[in-house]
Amino acid sequence: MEKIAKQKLNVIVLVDCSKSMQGERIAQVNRALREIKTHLIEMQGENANVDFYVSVITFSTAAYFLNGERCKGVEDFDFKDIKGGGWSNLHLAYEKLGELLKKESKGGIMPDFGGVAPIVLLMTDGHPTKYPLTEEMAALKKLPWFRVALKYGIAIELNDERTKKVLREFVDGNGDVVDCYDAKLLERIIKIIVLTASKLKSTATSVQAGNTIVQQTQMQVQQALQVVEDWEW
Amino acid sequence: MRFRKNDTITIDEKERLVVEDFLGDGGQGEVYLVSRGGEKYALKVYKNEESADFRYNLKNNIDRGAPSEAFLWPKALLDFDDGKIGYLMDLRPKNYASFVSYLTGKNKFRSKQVLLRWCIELCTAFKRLHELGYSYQDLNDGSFFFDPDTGDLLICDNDNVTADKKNLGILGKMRYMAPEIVRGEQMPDMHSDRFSLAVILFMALCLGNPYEGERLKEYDIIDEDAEYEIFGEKPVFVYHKTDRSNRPIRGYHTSVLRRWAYIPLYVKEAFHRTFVDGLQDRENERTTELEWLKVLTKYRDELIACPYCGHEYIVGFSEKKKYDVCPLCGKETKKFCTLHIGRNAVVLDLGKKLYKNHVDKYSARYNQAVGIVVANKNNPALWGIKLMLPEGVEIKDGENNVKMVTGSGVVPIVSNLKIKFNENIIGEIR
Amino acid sequence: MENKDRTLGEGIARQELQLIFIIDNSGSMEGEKIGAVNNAIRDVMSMMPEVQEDTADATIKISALKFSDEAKWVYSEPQTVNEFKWKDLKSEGGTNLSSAYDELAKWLCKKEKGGKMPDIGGVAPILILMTDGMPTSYDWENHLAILKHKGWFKVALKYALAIGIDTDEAMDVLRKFTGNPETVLKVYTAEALRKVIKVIAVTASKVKSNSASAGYGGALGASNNDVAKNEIAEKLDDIQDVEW
Repeated sequence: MEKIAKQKLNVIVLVDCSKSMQGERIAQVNRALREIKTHLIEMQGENANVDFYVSVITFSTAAYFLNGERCKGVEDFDFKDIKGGGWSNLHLAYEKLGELLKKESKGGIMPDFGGVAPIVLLMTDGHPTKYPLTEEMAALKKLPWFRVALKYGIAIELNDERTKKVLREFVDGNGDVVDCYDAKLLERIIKIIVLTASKLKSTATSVQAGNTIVQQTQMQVQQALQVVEDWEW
Repeated sequence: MRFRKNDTITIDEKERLVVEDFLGDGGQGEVYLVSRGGEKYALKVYKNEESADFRYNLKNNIDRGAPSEAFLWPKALLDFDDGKIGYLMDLRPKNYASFVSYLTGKNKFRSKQVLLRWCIELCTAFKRLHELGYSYQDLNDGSFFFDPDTGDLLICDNDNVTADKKNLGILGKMRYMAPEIVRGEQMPDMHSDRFSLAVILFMALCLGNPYEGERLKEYDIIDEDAEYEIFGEKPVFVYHKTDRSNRPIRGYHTSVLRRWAYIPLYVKEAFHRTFVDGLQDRENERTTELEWLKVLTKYRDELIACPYCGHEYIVGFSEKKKYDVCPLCGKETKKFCTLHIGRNAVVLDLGKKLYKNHVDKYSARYNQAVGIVVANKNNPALWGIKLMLPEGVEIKDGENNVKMVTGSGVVPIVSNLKIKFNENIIGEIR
Repeated sequence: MENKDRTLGEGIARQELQLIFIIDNSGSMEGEKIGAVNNAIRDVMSMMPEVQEDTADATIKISALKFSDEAKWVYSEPQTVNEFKWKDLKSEGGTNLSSAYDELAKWLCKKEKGGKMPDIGGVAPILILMTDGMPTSYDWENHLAILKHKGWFKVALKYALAIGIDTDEAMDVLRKFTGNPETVLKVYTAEALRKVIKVIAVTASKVKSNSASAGYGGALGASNNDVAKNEIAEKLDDIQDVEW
């Protein structure tokens, strides 16, 4: 079938699956990711700009690519439930993320030319085992793909200022840190962020004078989050 | 979401709508399926409070009515208690597929003939819109729908249509916006509409964007700065005649490379004019709808189908090289008779139609058929033009034998036959 | 292209047929109206080369007079079909129809008298007035009376396009310009305009070439003009077809 050449839009999700995530929280994450797959496949057929590629990094004592796959086209992405248990070694996840955010010709997953800034979502419910993460963060910030990425951090039932600071550093103004006060809403929050950002970035809706896509995304995510309890997709 | 299933919306005690379903979120607003006294409509509700200008414009558009049937036009304005507004429109019939689904390869036009019919409908619709003094301002792939079998067109999202040179804040969508709009030098008007229309036509015919080529390689990331350069600051048409720096990328823009090769020269010229000369002189060098109609109907007139593999290609009257063989299967091109009529030459392939514009050059009905080429039931080797005219025509063969054919009769297709449609229009089959 | 000096006497000189648009771009034309006018003229211009090709015995020259607070010629000289480029008009200001009539009166004089009409020969010009019929200059009828004294105006084929008009009073302004209610048209799609121009251009030059004696001031005689008008009226009968 003849079709238009599309760009790659990478959606990268970093999931904390330390011991404290076990049970309800990780179940919410699993449900969210499964549904996201369905929605992204649908969205892929409805936009002429991008194809979605998904990467999931899980981190506890060690960091892994889910299924051992670094990146898959959303249609070929086979999801296996994530299990919880172990430490919260965020710095190892940063290393894995750094591996991805390089050009294909340099061993990463980003296209050699004409890529689209990826969407990166990091969620955690507790402070990282190693702290501070100064060097790891500095290493990431050296990567252009990291700098342009639209980044969201979700703090799950977390009142720990130190971890929130870690998330804010990670996002660095290009995205947002979102509080999830009630783990029951986690699934919805993940979906809101990934799907709103994906939709906006894929359909690149009409530009209103004076608004960039990033601003529009931030606005829409905020709007959706305000009514998170009623939100349906 | 503002409403839920089975909610009843009452406005001023006279309007009563029942929400039946949530249809989607279009950025600016939410769309619902509602019923109003037994009739079903789509309801769009704006999320933000819109300006008085915006409301006035919408009201004005509703009062003036749709420019043509192709527009899924707002029908009734609704003012909600909290100051937000919305409007009712007809539902999109089920036989329409989105233009985007064509681009992504999910749906396709039944044939190239049908694709061209859709393009002609598109130009006719925008011609009409502009004749009424409107500009659309936000042409992009998301607004258009097609019937894969007939090539009928539907244009949705008509709420940004305003009088030409009036603006309500919308700039358009990147990759479809004219460069001067991207650069912020102008606000959208008819001339930027014409640029975007050419982009949509290019996408329809070539399955690609006219400015995305080799130069993409200069950018690791296509962010807003890169887009500003590619589509605003220094756009280079991928098939620029002299600047070859931005040709489609082999192995990536495969469809464009394959399809452009078989686009007729005069259509290529029309694109080149808009995408190259039209960058400098936005008022006079952008192919107008009328000019598009001229070249696209010509393209349609020239189209033939390979009798062996069914591939549709042009005879190539004005091409540098003639198409002696089918570009797909390589078999020899079948010989066809041609009807020369006015400035047109219609290749008389089976199923080929004559249109109103062939027999009346002042007609704007480019898609109203007045004749179709059919094969004789008893002797399929004999072809003729089955007329669909109110009045008959006079025919005269090579030996000057004159005969009348009724408006629903069949004119035999034989060489040297002259067909007199009226005093001024006489066609000749060669 | 068509700049050959007619006095050089190289065979039969082609007649000059002037097509003059008189366009209201006052504030009341704002919005869809001026948009429609701009669009119509641009479309007509893209059809003119074809009309010129079919009109063998006259060179078509185009001029445009815009009027709001004051009237101003878009080009100071009549342009050939290929020279004339349209630049969108913006609408602002009052509707000084009087000033437009004055400018037109000056234009419709022989060159030797400071006008733009040929000193000898020439075909009756085509005047197309486009307005919504709401002049703000109340003395426009006086100025029209002066204009009506011009021979070239008398013989001109005058058409008016009513842009978004629905009152009789406004319609009256147009009828007075053309002097004939039948030549006030409400159709302004490009095809309709082209049909008007083409029928006029072809018919007018035909009538001219058939007439042995030149009438007023070397121009198309008034009686011949009637012939042309009748022929045109006949051909314009089905003009409503163009609309849908």
